[in-house]
Amino acid sequence: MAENDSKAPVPEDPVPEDSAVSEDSVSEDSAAAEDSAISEGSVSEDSAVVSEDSPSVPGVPPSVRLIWRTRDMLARRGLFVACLALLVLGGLWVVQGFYVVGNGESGALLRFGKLIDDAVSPGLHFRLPWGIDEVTRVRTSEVLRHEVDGDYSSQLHLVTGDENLIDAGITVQYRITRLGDYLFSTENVKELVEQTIRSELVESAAVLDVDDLLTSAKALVQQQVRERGQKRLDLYGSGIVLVSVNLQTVDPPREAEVAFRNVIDARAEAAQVVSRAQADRDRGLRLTSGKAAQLHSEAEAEANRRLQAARGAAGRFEDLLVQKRLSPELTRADLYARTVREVLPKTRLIVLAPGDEPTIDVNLLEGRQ
Amino acid sequence: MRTSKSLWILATLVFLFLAVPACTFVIHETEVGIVTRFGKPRAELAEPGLHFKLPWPVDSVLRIDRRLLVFDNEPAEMLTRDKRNILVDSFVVWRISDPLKFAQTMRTRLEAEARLLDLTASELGAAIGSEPMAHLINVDPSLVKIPEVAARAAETIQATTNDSFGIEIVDLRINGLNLPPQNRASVIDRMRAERATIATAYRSEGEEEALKIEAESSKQQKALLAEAEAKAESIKGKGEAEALALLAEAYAKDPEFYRFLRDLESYEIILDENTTIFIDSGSELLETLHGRK
Repeated sequence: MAENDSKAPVPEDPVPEDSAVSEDSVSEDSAAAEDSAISEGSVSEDSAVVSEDSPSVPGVPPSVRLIWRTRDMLARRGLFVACLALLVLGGLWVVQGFYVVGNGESGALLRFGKLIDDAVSPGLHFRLPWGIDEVTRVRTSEVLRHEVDGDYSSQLHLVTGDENLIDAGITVQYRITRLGDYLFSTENVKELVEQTIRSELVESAAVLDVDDLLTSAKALVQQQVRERGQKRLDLYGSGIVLVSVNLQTVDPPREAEVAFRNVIDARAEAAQVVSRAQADRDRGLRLTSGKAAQLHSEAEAEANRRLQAARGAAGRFEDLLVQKRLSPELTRADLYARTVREVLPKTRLIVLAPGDEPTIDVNLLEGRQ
Repeated sequence: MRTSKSLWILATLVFLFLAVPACTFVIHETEVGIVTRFGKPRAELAEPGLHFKLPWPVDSVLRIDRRLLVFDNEPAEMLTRDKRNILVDSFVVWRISDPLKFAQTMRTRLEAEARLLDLTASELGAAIGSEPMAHLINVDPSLVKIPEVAARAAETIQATTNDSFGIEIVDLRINGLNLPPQNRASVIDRMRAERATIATAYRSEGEEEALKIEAESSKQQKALLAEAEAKAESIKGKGEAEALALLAEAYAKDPEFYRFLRDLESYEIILDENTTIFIDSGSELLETLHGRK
């Protein structure tokens, strides 16, 4: 522009309103030049009306002429262009003020840094644009998950109430309930949650014995840590709610792992021994009741057999009795004879002469000398 | 005339462009501002929002965090009242309650944290030193005083920091309790020994239980069998009785004949090849042989 100034001749005002004051005209000229320089750089907002007949000057490069021509046009239509520019800028400014909060999101609206609304709901909204209002959008419907780490490893090293060592891995899930608090009242919510959960876990472990912690008390610990942790986080005004606290792992220290497994094995073995004994007992009882049933039916069979035998004997006796009543002597003799015939042949029979005294060496008879 | 007007407008614009940033400032929701005039702080604090001030170098603004801050201490070995070592880790939740005082006494946040670290180490150490180990870890929850110990230390620290540095201790909590590394080996050994005892106990309990079951079972079986045998005998006895009754009824018709028959049957059973019978030739059986009668 300096070049422009030096080469440009002093322009005559085509519509001089006040040509009497020459000083004024000079100062006006330089101002006009500066003015047009600004208005070319940005968008002219003032309506300085300065026009000149540039083509009449020879030896001026075309680029400069273009600038001059633009300047002329601006000078002639300055007001109109300025209004248009303002309108466009204003329009852009207003349009830029619209914003959308997505589904599942929530917005916090700050005006000059001050929180004025911390629960802008999903949808289309308007804010004062550019430098006045500022919106932070956060997915508040999402459940955030955080793994609580120890100082040197991913597991926390704890001491139980009975002075045993335990390594635990714990995760926490939480949701944002008050966005303003979540964003602005704590420097680092994640850190606050992590440390709070850690300290609650330390306190829970410090009153439990190791067996409970390894087995039955897990659910209780989770519940305790969540409830007490929530109370603390509310006290801090963290703006979040703990959805769940999960003990992912609870292990004895690696050096004692075998010993702990041995206990588990021992318990399993004991249970096995007991159940085997129970199975044996059941089997034994079934066998015994089978035997009892067998004895019962055998006894019945035996009773029946005897009864039948008696019935048979009684029947035979009665038959013989009928016979005997018909001819007593004959029947008796007959029966006697039959028995004798049957019995005596089996025995050794020694017939003694009548009157003989039975002085017989029995040993001799038996052949046992 | 027209050119002078535009000049004025321009000048105003330039002035505004420079003056607005120089004379206003914005305090964010997370902070609070202290306006100092030639280095001397004004009494009232600038809350979040838009504020006016005189341009530099007259007024300048110092921003102080007003959020809740978390500071995690390093684990430190401490001694309980009963002279036992314990590794205590803790964290402090704090905030700047008096920004003016804080700005005057602390240059940076790191400096503040260094002071907190020193104070917690000494005060927590003192609080833990006044309690026996049994008040820190114990299976009886009513004896464990971890929150109380931490709260006591927090109170003492707060008394110092609040007045001297404008720091409020919102909470001090123990987030790690452990046995020192040099004790670890012996603790592990003890744990192993305990486990071995428990394992043995489980095994012997199992065997005891099994033996009891066995004994009970054999008792039950014997009882069952005895009952069954008794019942069987009684069934047999009843059968026998019935049989005898039947026979008795029959034999009652002629007892003498019955005796005769029974004797005959008896002979059949008694007499066998080992029997030697002497018969008098004069006996009734052989009468015919002798030709008598």
